[in-house]
Amino acid sequence: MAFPFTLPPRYVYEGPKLPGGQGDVYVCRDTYLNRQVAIKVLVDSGDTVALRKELTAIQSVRSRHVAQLYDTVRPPKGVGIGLVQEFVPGPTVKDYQSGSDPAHDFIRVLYQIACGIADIHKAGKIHRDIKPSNIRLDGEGVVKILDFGLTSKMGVDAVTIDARGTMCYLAPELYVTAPIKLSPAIDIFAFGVTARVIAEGGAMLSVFRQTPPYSTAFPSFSGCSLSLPTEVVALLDKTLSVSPSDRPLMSEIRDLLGRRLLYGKHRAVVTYGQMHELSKPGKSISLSIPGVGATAIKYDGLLFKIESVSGNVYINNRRAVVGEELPDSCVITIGAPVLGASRTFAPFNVSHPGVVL
Amino acid sequence: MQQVYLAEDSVFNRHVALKVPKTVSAEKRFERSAQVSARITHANVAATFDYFDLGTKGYLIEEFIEGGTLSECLDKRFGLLDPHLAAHLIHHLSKGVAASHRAGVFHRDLKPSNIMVSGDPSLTSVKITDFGIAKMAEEEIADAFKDNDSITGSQTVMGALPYMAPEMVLDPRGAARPADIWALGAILYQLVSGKLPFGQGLRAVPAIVAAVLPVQPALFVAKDQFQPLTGGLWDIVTSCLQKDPAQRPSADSLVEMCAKLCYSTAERHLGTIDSYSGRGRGKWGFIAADDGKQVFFHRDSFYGDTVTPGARVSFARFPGVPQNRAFPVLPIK
Repeated sequence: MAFPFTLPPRYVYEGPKLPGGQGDVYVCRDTYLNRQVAIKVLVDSGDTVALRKELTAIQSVRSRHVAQLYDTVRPPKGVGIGLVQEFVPGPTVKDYQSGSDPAHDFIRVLYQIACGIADIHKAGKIHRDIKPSNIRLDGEGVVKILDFGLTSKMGVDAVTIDARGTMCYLAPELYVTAPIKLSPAIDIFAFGVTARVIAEGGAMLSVFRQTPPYSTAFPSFSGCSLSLPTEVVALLDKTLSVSPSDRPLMSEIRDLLGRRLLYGKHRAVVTYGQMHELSKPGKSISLSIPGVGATAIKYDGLLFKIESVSGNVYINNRRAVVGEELPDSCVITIGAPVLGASRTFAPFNVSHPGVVL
Repeated sequence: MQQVYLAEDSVFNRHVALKVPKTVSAEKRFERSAQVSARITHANVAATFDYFDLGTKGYLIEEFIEGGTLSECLDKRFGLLDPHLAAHLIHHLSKGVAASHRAGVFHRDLKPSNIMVSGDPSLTSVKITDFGIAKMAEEEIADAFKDNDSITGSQTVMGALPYMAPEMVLDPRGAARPADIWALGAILYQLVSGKLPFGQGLRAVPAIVAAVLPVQPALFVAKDQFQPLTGGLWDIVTSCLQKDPAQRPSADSLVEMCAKLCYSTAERHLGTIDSYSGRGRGKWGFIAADDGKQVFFHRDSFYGDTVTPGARVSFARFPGVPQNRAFPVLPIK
């Protein structure tokens, strides 16, 4: 099948043609830069002003997890436009390679999808067609969200007459008669279904094929063969809430998954007489000046918390309380303020490996 | 070799960097170099958007990074970086170099003026640029080396020299991937010490060829609070600056070394040292942050020699009473 209109000589259609949400996507070669590009053809857009606004909006999303927009091409006659985008050759996210820690690798993939969608939402846009086939891995294994032509702006004009998108990934509030109110929460629901399908394969989709009101509840992520941490299960379960307002924000999902990626990888260094290190989940460190004060600090894998206190102990000058979380950088002081410079000061600093994708 | 302009892309309503070749010899290679850089798509490499010819001249359109080059950043803003900020930078740079090495491209001319950093005090965004022109740089360097008089006359050579690997100094066309690793080691040394590892100009040549390791910056060992990160960073510097290219880590192993570094990515703020105890000989003081808040700091958290009231600093802050507490505190320009 040929490209639907005559391309400028710069681009040559090489194929294949890929099915897309709002328009078909043609894999072409940019002969100037000698690289493959994905040209998505939109046919329903004759309004140049609106289109230009749309293009500005699409490119205003700055994200390492959203495929880049390079150029536009127009047919010599008639309406329509081709969006020349970064071609992401890798497999779809369903087929990511898992290593020795499948739950961690799964969270790492979800974290990247969450970063991309959060960037889209931050730019005031809604993707509207989040699903595994629209999310691919590039040559570096970095997750890229594609098919951005379907997006809508949030706010006043975020009302549509039809529920575009893909069955099974459509949030329940989209199954109403027009006009439909769009909100970022529809991307959150689609993200939840996507996560489920990535975790357990397409067979999982049957339960999402029903339309509201649902007769069968969506199964909890606790049933996944990956043994996911409880707070991740709780978070993912909430993405599938029937009421949009019960779903978490994408930035919350991103932050929680990001923290989880660092589970057990923090390192606290306390200078107390000499340098001590606390980096094993479940372990504690004790600081004690007999007759003055003592405290123990425990690492739970994510946070450092005060496990016990007796006597005069202060964290950044505030009286230490059992259960309190330590700031990533603080001074633990043992001794009452009246003791002045003869108190014991122990600087406490937390660091962790950088999450660089 | 090329001139860079800030341009406005009227289709997408965005700023872009427009590059044109400066010399006839650069023109010949320009299209090919654009194609080379277009092969790399990574968040730590400036994206190539477009290339076109108008008449006989080629124009390359690249992603524009709001901020400046790392070289300007060190000259005008920072002088040097504390170990946490340096770890952030080298981690991202290694990722970018690893992605390009996997795409079969090596840079040959990595230096702070070819690295773009965002203008925020956390230097959030780090992107390597000019991958494509590396081959052109190699030509110019090789030409200059043929004739000793033109070495000091070539801006390209003089700019590249402090980061040039021994094998490249001996044979400008002999560079391969390990030369990029050497350059990263030299850049990291400069980031944490504020100095070039082998000095400037032609005087650097004998030290580079002998690969005499520079001394560990005094600040590295002076302050407990920056350990053990400083040890990890120093291991990276010394393994990258191995004379034998085969002994240097691959870009992928370098990424692994960086992934093991524990550093703080807490957001940085700017401020001015407001007061310091004991007439400058004390142990603690306060920073007036640019947002109006007072922040407490201890001398041990200060990555510099002397604390001077009125001096500008970059810092991260953490909750405390009555004032928040800063760590680390980096004197800036």
